[in-house]
Order: sequence, then C-alpha cells, then structure tokens
Amino acid sequence: MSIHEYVSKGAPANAHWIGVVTDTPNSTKARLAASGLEWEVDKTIIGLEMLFLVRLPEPSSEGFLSIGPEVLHAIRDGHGAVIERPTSFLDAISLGQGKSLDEATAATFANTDARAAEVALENMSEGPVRELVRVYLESISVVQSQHGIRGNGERTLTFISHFWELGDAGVTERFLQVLPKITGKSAASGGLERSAKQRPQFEARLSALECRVRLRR
Amino acid sequence: MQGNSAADWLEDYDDVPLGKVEAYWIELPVEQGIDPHDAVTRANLAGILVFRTKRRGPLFRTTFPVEGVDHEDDQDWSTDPEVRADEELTAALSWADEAVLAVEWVVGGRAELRPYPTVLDSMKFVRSKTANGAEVIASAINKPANRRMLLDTDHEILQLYLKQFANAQRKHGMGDSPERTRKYLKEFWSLGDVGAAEKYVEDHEAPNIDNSLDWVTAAEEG
Repeated sequence: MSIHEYVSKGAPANAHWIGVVTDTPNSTKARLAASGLEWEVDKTIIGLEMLFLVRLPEPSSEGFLSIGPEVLHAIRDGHGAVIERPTSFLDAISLGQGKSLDEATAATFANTDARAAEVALENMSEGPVRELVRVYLESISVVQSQHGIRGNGERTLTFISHFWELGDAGVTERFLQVLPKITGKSAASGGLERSAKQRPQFEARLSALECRVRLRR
Repeated sequence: MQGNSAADWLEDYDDVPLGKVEAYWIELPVEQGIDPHDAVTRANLAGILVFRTKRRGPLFRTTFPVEGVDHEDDQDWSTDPEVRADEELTAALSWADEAVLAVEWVVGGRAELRPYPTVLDSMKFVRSKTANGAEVIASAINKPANRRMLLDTDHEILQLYLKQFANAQRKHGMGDSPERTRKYLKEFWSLGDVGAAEKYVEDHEAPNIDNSLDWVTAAEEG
C-alpha cells in the first residue's frame, strides 16, 4: 500500500510517530505539507538539521513496522510519492508563460529544462501541490544542469508525471539511468553526490532560503 | 531485563542517538490515565527525549529504530526464506514491544528513576491534624533547611512519589503518620512512584467485611 492509500484510510486512534532528521528541511516540509500526514517540527535546530515528528497513518498494533520505513524514505529522502499523481494539476501547467525567476528564490538551476517548467509553475495557484512539484523539478534540475539539458520544460514535466510514483529522488535516479541515451555519453558515477559537492551556488541559495524560513517562523 | 531501575529499562538508549538514527516515538497510552505532566517529568529525569505536540500531548522517543533492525546471525533461523522472513518479523515486533514497554514503564511511574534519597531518613516531621503523612513530608522537604540537603533531582522525584502517596492516603482515608509513610516510601521505592503508591494502597486497604456472613455457620463449616 502506498502512503496516500494509508492516509486515505483515516487517522488511527493510537499510533506511533517517527522522528525525521534532515538537512534539507524545505523539501521535507513540502513533502509533508502535501502528504496529508499529521506532523510537527521541532524548532530546536540541530546544526543545519531539523527534526520533524511524523504520525504514522497506521495503528500502533498493526503494520507500523512496514509503514515506518516507507514514510521515512518518502518524506526524508523523496523515494516514493507522498500523493497520487496530481494529473489535472500537471496537465494545467501552461509552458511558455511566465516571467523569469529571481535566482535567489528559484529552486532549479538556470538554463535547464526544469527551470522552464518552474517558470510556468509560478502561474499555478499557490499551495502544497505546487510546492511538491517544485521539489521534483529542483531535484531533476541538478542533473540537467550538470549535463546542459535545456528546453521549454515539456519533457521534464512529462518525465516527472510518468514516473511520479517513484518520488522526487526516485524520478531523478530514473532520469540518471536514461541520461546516457539523452546525451550520447556514459553517465558520470555518483551523479547526484558529485553535483552536490560542485554546487556551492545552489547550496548558498538553499541556505539563504532556509534562513528566511527560520526567521519567518 | 534485570532490576526495575530506569537505567536497566533504558540501557540501549544511547545506541540510537538523535540525528544519527531515526527511531519510533510513542504517545501516552490514554487508557492508562497517566498524568502527562508527571510523565514528562519522569522522562526528563530518565533521559528520555520528549516532544510536546500541539494536539496529541507529549511524545516519547523509544530505542526502536525505524530502519536497519539488525538480526543476530547466530540465531536458529529457518533456512526457508519465507519462514525466515516471518521469524525475523516476529523478532522485530518483539523488540519493538520491549522498546515501547520500556518507555511506557518509566514514564508511567513504574521504574526507579534514582536511588532513594537517604537524607530523607534524618528529617524530622511536624505532624498535622489536617494533612496526611505524605503531605507532611512534602511540606517538610520544602523547608529551606531540608531543601538545601536535597539535590534538585531528588527533590523533584520525591515530589512525584509524595503526590501519589498523598492522593492514595486522601482517597482511601488512610491516616498514616509521616514516619510510617516514609518507611513505605523507602521499602517500595524501587517500584516507581505510581507502583509504590499502588503497593501502599494494596497493603493498607481495609478488608472487605462480609456483614451478612453467619460466623457460627462459617465456623461449623470449618
């Protein structure tokens, strides 16, 4: 059963929670906000990490052992979708519309296919689904930036929509697998990890965003 | 588990450091009627991590990890993969139960948080006509001269015990002296504040006299 199927069953009377410590709190928060799960955040920040407490959508006397890791991987790591594919939302994104984004607030790398999709995303109504789609775009743009993959956003959105159930990180990993066919070259090993070390500009933007989130709270 | 101290129940607690291992947290079992404030006090004294939610009361962190449950290789596992999977699940559930029980036991007031503060033995009490034995002791430990003799943690723990004893004595109309109350506190300290008070009630409750019983008949029946 997927997370959204568990959530749709309704909140159990007695449940366990899991603690999720993450150094990417914005992505975690976006996944949680969209998921329908009950959650809270501990405002004590441990270094650059934040602790989220997430209530499992399953009674404590039953399958919490299997749902616990599933929720953890989806919420913390982006492996596994937290909601069903938002088909109508994705279909309604109109490409080619919208102004360019402020580099300080954009989630995606400039000059990527994902960036074009994010520009179009800005015209959609604000809300948790929009922010979740942004997390998917952010993730895949890391790889696209490294390999110079540009476009109008259509192929990224189609790819994300098709592999939605894998979660944002899962979609990006799937993209990495198909990358050699796209570029005609063999994929660099540890693509995501290496790109994380080579993206100081992105990290600086992320840190700035996180600081603003903390100050707002 | 050996003994009934919180340290025994929570001997694995340092194996799952926050930030390194994701673990399960539990809500207070509502059916047990545990006072959330007292539960949090006990948790803090025992080193159990607490998170106060807005809607569900306090959460307490267990030692059971969300992932990476290691099963011992020297166990007598089945060679059949399906059977082995069932056996591992049963073992994991058993571990989970134990981890949850450990925290529930401690925050529920059934484990000894710290040794009995022997300084209490030397305190003198002033009896009262209106206050019960536990209330007299509670008043005594707050007098400056006595308070100075107690460590902060011991003072906090004593207040937990005395609250339970005072409630028991009030509820059951028990007029024990502070000296006898102290004696019971000391003797059953290891049961935790709730456990010790329950034992006190059990030992002190008036017998249920059957006034309808014909004594002669009962005696003749042997």
